[in-house]
Amino acid sequence: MKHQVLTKKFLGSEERVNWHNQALLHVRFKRDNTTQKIPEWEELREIASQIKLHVLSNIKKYIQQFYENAKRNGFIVHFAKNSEELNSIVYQILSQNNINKVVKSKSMLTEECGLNPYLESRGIEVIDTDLGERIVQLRKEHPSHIVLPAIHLKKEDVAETFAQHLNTDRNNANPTYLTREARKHLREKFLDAQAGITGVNFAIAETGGFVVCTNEGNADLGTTIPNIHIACMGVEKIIPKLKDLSIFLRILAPSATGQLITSYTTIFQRPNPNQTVHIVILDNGRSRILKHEDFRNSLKCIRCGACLNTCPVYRRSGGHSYHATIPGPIGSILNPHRNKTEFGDLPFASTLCGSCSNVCPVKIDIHNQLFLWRQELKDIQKMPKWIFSFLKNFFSEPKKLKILHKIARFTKKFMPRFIEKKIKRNLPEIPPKTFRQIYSEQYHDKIQ
Amino acid sequence: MTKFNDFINDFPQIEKYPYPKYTFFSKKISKENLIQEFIQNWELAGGKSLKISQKKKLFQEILKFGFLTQNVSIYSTFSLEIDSSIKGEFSFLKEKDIQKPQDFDHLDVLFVEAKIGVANQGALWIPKNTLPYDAGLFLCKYQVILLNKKSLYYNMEEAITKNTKLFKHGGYWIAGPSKTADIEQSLVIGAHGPLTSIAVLY
Repeated sequence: MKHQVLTKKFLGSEERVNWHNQALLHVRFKRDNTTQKIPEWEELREIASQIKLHVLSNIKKYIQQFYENAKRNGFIVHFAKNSEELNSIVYQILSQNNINKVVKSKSMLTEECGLNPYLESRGIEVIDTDLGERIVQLRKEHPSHIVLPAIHLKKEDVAETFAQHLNTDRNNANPTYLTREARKHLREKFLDAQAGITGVNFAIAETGGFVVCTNEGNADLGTTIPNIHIACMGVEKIIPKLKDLSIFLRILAPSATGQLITSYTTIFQRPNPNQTVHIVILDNGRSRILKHEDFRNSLKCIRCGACLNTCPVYRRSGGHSYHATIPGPIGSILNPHRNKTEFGDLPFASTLCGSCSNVCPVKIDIHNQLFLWRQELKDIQKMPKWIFSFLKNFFSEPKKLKILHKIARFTKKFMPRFIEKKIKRNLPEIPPKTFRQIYSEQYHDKIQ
Repeated sequence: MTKFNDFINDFPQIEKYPYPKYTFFSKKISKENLIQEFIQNWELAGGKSLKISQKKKLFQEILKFGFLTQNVSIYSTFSLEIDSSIKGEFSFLKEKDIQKPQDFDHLDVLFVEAKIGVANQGALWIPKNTLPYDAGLFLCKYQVILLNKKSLYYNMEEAITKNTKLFKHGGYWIAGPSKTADIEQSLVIGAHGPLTSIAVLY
């Protein structure tokens, strides 16, 4: 249970855990504030969900339509069955053009493929230009959140990192100062870049265009200065029509950050003059997920991060405890597809409260899928046998369960510190009467 | 490298789901309220706004923000009228000064005209290649975006369906200045792109 071990590490500082929890809860509240002001919010979710289901059920047709229209627009389209092939395609494009300096905007897909280390090991400088991603890149860490990559860090951590790498004042942890320093540092990288790599938020089959959304403007600087742009996308990013974009652009930013729309939403319809644009379309297991009726819904994900912000387990265990590119509830249902043994612990990192499904803008039944995964993984995630026989023994016989309850109440009453020290948190007060007592008093009837 | 047919063959044919029929979420709204809603949402995104009676008063009105001085470099995608009462000479970049995208790096103020605005999301549409190099949109420090009130729509559905030609070459929906909250969730206006973005409606 790797998640448990890594969570224990994160829980080392109670103050930091509380802060992390509150920071993400704040983002969740911003999402609530914005969505509550959109009267048609639930309709938008339903339409978006239906559009995504429609695309998944006609995926061959839409991949073909997007491919043909994108080619007609002047884009060069490549297909990659897996991450190794995507990395190799990107490297070939760069090496054929003698490129050794690349700027990259946030793309969970390239993180999934491990593109940065692949290119770096071949002598190519890859600079992540999203501020959060640049911070974690300088620290040689992975993003801990799909929208807020450095949410696990405090401003003092960032000041220290910038002091080491950008020669800034380590005693100045003012976010505006740090952002301005990063701006100066990254501006040089943008001006010097020979190619820009981006992800794709949406690809439009009808027009052969694609859309990239950012707040910082980094994707736009990375694609308007260099002559080569490489856009990497999973097949699930395709939407049928241009008008559908207006539905998806209304649910993405409110779900992610509580904004109405991101600062920059760029539609790439054809290459700029003197520019070459490559689109790499990736499978990497998506076709396998699509074959699985119970799990194919997860491919509707638009990577907004809303399920992470609302998840009580994610908020208190941190993104790195998921030891995967995509953390949180959505990561817990996607990653086991990649490797059941390595990521089989993740579906158990949940309370199954269902909050993730409630906030999902494309109505993925995340908590159901978590439950299904637990059944699928029960043989891989070997629990000690004595636990099951112990539980079976007590839960199958009411009298024994009653005794267990009494022991628990006694222990909490007379040895609270012992338990709290063990589990490292305060237990709630035990009510003076048990449910059985209240019930028998009110109904003069005894529960067995 | 995987060919299209080899790639597509791995994908299964599954139960068909129909494309949903949906109508647009239009709203009856007066012109004045439409403008108000746009301004409110633009400012919510950290932008500044201004209403002017005529396009020719633009420069004069922008002067009031204080950043248009004789020391700054200016580029405009349309001809700017400068009233004879405004003293001094301003430094304008000309198209011949812009030989490559990087030449916009030291641009201070950009004047550009948006083709469409959307009130319910506070966003403005600038088609691709409005500038000699689109990088200028993001390299400038101050971005002044002009919009004719007649081109303001309530929502994006309406704006897209009534102006499909404007989307033919792609472009940029812009909602306020560049921003980030990547450090401790503290909102900082001005990340990699413009530090200030002013929407001017005429």
